Amino acid sequence: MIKQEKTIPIRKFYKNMLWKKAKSFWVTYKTTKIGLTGLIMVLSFMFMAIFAPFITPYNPMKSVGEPLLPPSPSYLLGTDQLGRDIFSGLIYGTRISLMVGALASAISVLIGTMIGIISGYYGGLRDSLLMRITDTFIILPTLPMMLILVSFLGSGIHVIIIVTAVLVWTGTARMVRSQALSLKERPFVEATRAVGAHDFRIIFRHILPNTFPVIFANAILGIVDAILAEAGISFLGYGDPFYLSWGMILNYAQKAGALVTGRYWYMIPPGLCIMLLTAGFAFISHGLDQVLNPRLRRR
Amino acid sequence: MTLLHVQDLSTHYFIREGTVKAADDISFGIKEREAFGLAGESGCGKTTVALSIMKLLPPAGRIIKGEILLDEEDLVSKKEEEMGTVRWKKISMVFQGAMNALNPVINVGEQIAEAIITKENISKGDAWSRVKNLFELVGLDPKRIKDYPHEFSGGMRQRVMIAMALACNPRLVIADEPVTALDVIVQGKIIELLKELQKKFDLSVMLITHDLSVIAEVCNKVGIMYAGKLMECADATGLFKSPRHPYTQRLIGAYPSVVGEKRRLNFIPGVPPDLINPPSGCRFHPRCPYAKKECPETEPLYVEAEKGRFVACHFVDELKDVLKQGNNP
Amino acid sequence: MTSNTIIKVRNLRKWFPIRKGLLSAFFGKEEYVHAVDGVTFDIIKGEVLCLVGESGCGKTTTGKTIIRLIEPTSGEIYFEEQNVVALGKDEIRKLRCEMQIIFQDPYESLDPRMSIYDTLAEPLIVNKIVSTRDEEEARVFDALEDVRLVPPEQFAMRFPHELSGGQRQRVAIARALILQPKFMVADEPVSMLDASIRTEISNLLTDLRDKYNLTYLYITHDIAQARYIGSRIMVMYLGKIAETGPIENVVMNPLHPYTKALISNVPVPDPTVKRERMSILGETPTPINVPPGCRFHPRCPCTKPICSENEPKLKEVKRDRYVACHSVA
Repeated sequence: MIKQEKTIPIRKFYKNMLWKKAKSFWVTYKTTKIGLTGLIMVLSFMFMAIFAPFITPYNPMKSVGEPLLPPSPSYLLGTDQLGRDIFSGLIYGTRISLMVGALASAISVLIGTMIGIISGYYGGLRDSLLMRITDTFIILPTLPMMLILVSFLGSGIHVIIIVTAVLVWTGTARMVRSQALSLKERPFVEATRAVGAHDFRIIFRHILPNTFPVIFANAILGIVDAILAEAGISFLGYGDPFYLSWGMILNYAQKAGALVTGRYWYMIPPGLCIMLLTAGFAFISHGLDQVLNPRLRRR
Repeated sequence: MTLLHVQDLSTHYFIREGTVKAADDISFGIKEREAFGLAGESGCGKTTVALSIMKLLPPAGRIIKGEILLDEEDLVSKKEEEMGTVRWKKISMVFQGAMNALNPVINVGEQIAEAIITKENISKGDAWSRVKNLFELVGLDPKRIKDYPHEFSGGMRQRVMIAMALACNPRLVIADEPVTALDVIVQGKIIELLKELQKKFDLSVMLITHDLSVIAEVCNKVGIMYAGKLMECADATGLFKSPRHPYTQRLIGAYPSVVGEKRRLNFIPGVPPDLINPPSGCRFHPRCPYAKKECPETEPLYVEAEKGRFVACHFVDELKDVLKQGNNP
Repeated sequence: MTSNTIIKVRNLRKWFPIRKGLLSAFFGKEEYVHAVDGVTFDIIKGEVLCLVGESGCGKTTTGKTIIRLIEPTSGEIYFEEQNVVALGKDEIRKLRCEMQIIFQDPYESLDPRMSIYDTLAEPLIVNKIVSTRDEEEARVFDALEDVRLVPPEQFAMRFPHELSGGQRQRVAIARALILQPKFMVADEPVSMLDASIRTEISNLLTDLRDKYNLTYLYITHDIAQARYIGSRIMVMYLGKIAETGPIENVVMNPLHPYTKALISNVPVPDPTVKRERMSILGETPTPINVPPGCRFHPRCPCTKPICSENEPKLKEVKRDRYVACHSVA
């Protein structure tokens, strides 16, 4: 065996390990065409969202021209019935979608993970109780429930985020629960108990880290659900009137009779954006799947 | 007299990380009514050899050279369609972990009958009566032919697999780890069954296992594989009493026994090599206590050291006495 | 209780309830798996007591219940005069440092996401044994050296998937050792390893026992293995002890019919040894509906009328030889 002059300090070792792991993950991820496509799509939207003030010529909420103008060099996608530039609205709308998507997904994953872990690890009465609560939430029809809650609680953007989160955590909860159930039986968990570890430590240092792939996958797909939910609520007119999201633009477009009057530049772009952004996240999720599950990769 | 003759068989697996030289230059013969044991530790290539003979290699595997002569017919050059007349009718196989390979939603009788009907042109009625016969042969109650796999224990399912292997009266049965997952007493019963069936039907058996004790019970000829190469091949008594290869001696020496005197067992330090980049020259040289200069340089030839005994070692003559049972350096 | 006895087990029972559907839970009778059904034995300091039996006999459950990894249904367990059953959760944690366990599966008993260093440091952290990072590192490296994984700095940085089965099992042993226990339960520690590695690990366990004055409860289904490593043997069948005694005596001269059958069925790595296989009828039943009287009587070749009525007690028939059988005076 090669003798080493000095031992690598443990902390630096872990930093190196993390870096190596991240690099190897990226290398594999790059090879998945679908993952890469998704990443490019999402990054483009993020770019749009971050640099919105620089890309957009006008303030999307202010009336800047004649109402219902067709596309022109000064108004790339024309104006809506209040004279606002549709293109600027579209770009700023990216911010809403991404923000709602990310936050709602994060909160729902948090709730779902907590419930799933307690249910799966402890089992027994706690499990039965939590699962019955979860079942109740599953059978609630999401969109109607959201509309009801929003009408009671008001249509602020923060309300929409919380309402979305509270209704979609069930998927994560069940997946995390089944992961926890199977992990809890594995010998290394038993071994950790045998050396005297408390439940707390077992959950946080052993069960949770091994559940991350599932949580992460769910989080990404949760973003898709959240974006679509917000778009749905806004389109139906329950969205936050102080912000202009894609769903809201569609709502206004419908009120202006854009479809009937053939103003396709008004109706199609927001819908297209919703589709592309959610597709992007879905592709990322496929890419992740292929990285985490090597059998799905094409040789 | 020789039923199966394998000559210089080499099978490699082509995977992303490289080429796995799973089996190289394997040569041995199985006579009629002979029980041949192919032994070695996990990863040494024994299952690869079996799958090569049956031409059931996974997509990444390919026979790159050699001959497999069954009654003078070369199986390597046969196409897939032609193998249909060979598989199950001339050679059949009981796969590793086979008792878990039964379809859980079809009753066992049907699974065997299906195999028979596919291979031979007989009526369903005849096939089912043969299934009843097979059940009796392997010691199962013929009234249970319509039961489902989960209604049988592990040992009984293994008997079902053996019945399936015998369904079309093959001449050679390859059994890959047939008793590894079974309890001692059930293991004993299956071993007795194999011996009995072999006598009754003039079968040749190729038994693949890592357990030398089982080989000692069942087989009259033994081949020892290591890292994809055949290290030694001899009659069972000769091999166990006076091994001619250092690996064989060490391997036998690593087995505790319930008879005989108790002694401290030696072991072989190190781990089996990576088969993508196997050691140069003799693949055992990094772990061999007798390795000298020639060992990493050239591969030893597989020669007939004495009548009926083949060994692949540079120092086969010099080590003859040193390796006799009981002499541990 | 002599000061020589480290573990005392009296009438230990572990019954697992069988979960049924909602309706049967209300209307049906509660059924249990009688995994361990009243075992009584002592373990002497410094000895290696081999707990032997086929799958389903309750040996693993016994081992895990003694250290209260599984809660016993009833019975008494004493560790060095302390009543293990009566201890609360915190006191059990303190006792863990004295009683440790090595699991069977080297591929599953280590957390795949934790480095070897972390896996070994965890027992120290959890029990607050060390206060500085240097102390912790020193203990981890010492443990690695004890199990001959050197250089320890290199192995500490690795992850389980980078190690071979034998190396992983050594890490498992190191983890059990790092708390400096007095007693270790080894649950089939080598059954998933190759033959040559088994010997290595067995020898390591024996050396560690000598070095640290350990006591082992060695659970295995491999009697040859038990004979090699053990000093005393205990044979279990369907949740009860059939026979115990010094290992050489029991192996050379088994008294209980079940033990006789077991030993006669163990294959021997020597083709010249011809042995009579003692066959017993049927298969091992599940421990749910246990036969009345002696559990073994439906399969026993020398059963008498009394065997189906009275359950035989474990009696000392010769010095140090305990047998539970009506036919053995």
